[in-house]
Amino acid sequence: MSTTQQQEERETLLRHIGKSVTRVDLKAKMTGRAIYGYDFSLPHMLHGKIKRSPYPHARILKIDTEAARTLNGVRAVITAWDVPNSLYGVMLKDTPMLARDRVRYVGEAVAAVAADSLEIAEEAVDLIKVEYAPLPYVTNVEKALEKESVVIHPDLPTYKAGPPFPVRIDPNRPNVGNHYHVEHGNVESGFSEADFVVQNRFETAAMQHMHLEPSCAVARAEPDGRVTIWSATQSPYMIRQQISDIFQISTSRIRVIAPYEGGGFGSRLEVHSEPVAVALAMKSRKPVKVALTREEVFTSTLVRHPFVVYIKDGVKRDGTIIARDMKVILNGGAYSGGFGMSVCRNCIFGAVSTYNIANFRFDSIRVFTNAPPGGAFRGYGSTQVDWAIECQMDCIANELHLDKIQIRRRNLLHAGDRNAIGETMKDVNHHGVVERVLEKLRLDEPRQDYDSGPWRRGKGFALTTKYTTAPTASAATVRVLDDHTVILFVSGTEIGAGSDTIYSQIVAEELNCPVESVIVSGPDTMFTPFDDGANSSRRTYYLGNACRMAAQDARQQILERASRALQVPESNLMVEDWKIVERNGSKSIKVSELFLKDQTRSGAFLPGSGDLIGRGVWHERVGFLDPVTGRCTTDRAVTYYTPVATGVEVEVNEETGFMRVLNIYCAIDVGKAINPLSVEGQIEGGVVQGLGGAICEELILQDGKPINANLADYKVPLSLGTPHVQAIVLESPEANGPYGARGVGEGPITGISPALANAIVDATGARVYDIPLTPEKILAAINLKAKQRK
Amino acid sequence: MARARKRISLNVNGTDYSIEANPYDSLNWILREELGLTGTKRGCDTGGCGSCTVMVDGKAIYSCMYPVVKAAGKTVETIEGLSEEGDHPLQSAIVRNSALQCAYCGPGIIMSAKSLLDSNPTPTETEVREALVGNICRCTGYGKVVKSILEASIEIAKSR
Ligand code: FES
Ligand code: FES
Repeated sequence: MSTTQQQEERETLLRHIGKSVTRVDLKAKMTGRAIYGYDFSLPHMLHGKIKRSPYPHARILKIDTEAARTLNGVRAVITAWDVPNSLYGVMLKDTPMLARDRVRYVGEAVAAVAADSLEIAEEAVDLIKVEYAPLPYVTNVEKALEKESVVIHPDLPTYKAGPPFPVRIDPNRPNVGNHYHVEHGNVESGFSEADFVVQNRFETAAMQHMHLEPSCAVARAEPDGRVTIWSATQSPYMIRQQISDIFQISTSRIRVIAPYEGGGFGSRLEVHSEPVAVALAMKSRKPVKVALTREEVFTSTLVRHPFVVYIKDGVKRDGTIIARDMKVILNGGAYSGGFGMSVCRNCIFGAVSTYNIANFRFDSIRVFTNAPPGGAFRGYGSTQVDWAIECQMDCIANELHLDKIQIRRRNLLHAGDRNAIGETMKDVNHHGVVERVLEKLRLDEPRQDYDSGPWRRGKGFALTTKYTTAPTASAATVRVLDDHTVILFVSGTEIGAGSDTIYSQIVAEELNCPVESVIVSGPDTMFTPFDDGANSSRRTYYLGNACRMAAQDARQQILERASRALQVPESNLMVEDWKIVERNGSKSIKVSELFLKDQTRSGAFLPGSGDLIGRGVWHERVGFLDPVTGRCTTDRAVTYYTPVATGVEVEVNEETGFMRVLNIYCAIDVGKAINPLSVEGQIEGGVVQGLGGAICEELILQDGKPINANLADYKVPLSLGTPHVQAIVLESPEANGPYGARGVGEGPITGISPALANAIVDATGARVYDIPLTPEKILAAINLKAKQRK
Repeated sequence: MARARKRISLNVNGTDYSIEANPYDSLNWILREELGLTGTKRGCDTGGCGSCTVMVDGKAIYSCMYPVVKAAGKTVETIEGLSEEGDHPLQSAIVRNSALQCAYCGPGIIMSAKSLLDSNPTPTETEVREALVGNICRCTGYGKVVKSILEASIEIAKSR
């Protein structure tokens, strides 16, 4: 049998994979019984509250906590002087748990209180008096880039950094924390061969994750010096490491348990209130809950980095882009934001994975300012870079009077091509996603516009590619019990993506048992094995593979035991619904009969007849990017690339700038949809979150202070006015993916902004260069266009 | 810090409670922190997200903005009281369609939808979307949840 035949045969035999199995967590959630991080409490716990900076930049002269300490019901008050003098950060150790001598943004933590009630804690925080000497501040990223700028981190050269993300100190630009450079071909000679040069500047605003459940942590200091933390985090092991770094306690002494999470979108890969909760718990010797308010989530967690993107293309008459020079500047805010440094690097992958450009230069620079810190956000730098590139592709097409799809096809990267960082491209099915969106978008149809009135119709398109990062690892353990249950131990938090169901489907598939037989443990770093966290659309692939291997390991052990018991060779046995049966024979045995219980009948423990433990680990190594050329040291820098095409239809009112989004089509090649309904859900939700960033979301700073840190003034998409998203799923298998699957979480957010901006141009001829595409900006662009026409 | 605590009687999901509360305590605070009914969520505490939605005397309200003293003598319905087995048509439809993801918005959405269907058993899609306009969902894009509510309305109508 050929391998494709074998593949097809397997496909038709799949029992749970590819089926929209009912989500295993939804019933508990829909009855209100599921416990999320914000719901979690312990008996006699205290409530913590954080005192925050009102200044974007100031020296701390004095902190007077006397009145707070003596307030009845206050059990602990802490300032920087009560906690270890250590800086933390996943990739750059630059962040103090509590500000010591200087605050760098409005909302930075300065002191904290634990009290018997939240009310007392709030009162005590108000009683803490902090004397500040305000300093000049800078929030504009291009101003912060200047040599004469206010310096945010005078000690930057002394900070420690993780090896893949060295700090690039630049004496002429004191606020630059990180700088990546890619040089491929010869950009200057490329431009000299070009017939046209098209250059533009694009921008994105500070967007907030706005996960619906605010961040929260409960911490307990154990009598023997260990620490237990309950936090709905996206990455329990990352929290464990950060707490270890801050408090200088060995990781094995820290236990992180993750309840259900009400969304994360990247923000909760990083610690938020965990360190303060731990410090307060240590000081008060009582459990402490630190639940952030919505306002604190806005001002004091993380934002999606605002980008400024300069892009200059040299283009041949036929539409071939012969040279591209890009400079992207990330407003990093006051700190590294945990993963901020790698956003600065990884946005490169967004820029090199769709088009094949012979001469290419890319600089990404992350700059410190006095704004809220930028961190990981669904899309992880790709979204902002894609925003610029996909607008630019339409700009080129318009300028050269070429077809917008043709110009994209002409410049596409193909399987076997080397991209600008030296990766050999695998077969990424860009053509497929383009085709499928075009079938819906019907760009060939004559324009259906209104005969009169202010409304104009337009269509827009964008082609993007989302990488999945590497190197990362996931491990899974299964424990098969004698009552035909299998417990799956994984550290993958159910953040909402349906991952617990995916893992259950995979384990049930390999053990050929009902999905209901699988219990997913929930993360607890004391028991559940390592995982790199819910980031980069990686878990279906990494944890999926680990779960599959763990279940296969257990199945093998079941077969071995059954073979001994039945005296039938393993190869003649198969497992089905907890029975092992002989192929073409009559012998069979139940899995429960492979366990031998002790005399009290309370457990099975003997080697060969006790619990069955199966293990799986998935890890992928890749090369690193050379600091000078940006070239990858091997032919692969990421795990895989996922192609996405987005098409939109809009109406724009030329008198008001108001836009109605009529239809959105988003096609993504997921390799294999393990749970098709969940995949659709990820696509719909990702596109709509992207829609928010595209049309209305922006955390606005005035005098360095967020002025819309609440849900009345920070607008997100609501049920009314949010269009129907048509999710289109393609399945070209990923060679190493479980059953061919890739991740799907982030791709859908990457293309919606440029597709909309391109549709506005199609409707009105006017282009907006920065998101969100608010009616004011659209109207200004229309008016500018009208003036230019005169 | 002696503040006048008040004794308040209210009925939650068919059970009578007599509690002591500060006059400014919200119904949300009492449900979650005093009665342990954490099925009702808190996402903002300022009337901006809808995750705290419950029904008071049959009407959907934001429990975070509702002083508990106002609920004295009234009937409160929360997600926990919707069905014994989690098989109310609204719950079943959402589970069947995988309509929610993190589902932190879910209890609030269901209570808004329940209040809508109680007064308008056969709503149009626009009416459903209007009823949910105060319930933010950050994960899903609303499509599948609107569909689920419409399906539930048909199911409820059939069983009448
Ligand atoms: S918690 Fe009540 S509306 Fe958000
Ligand atoms: S499902 Fe997460 S907020 Fe609605």
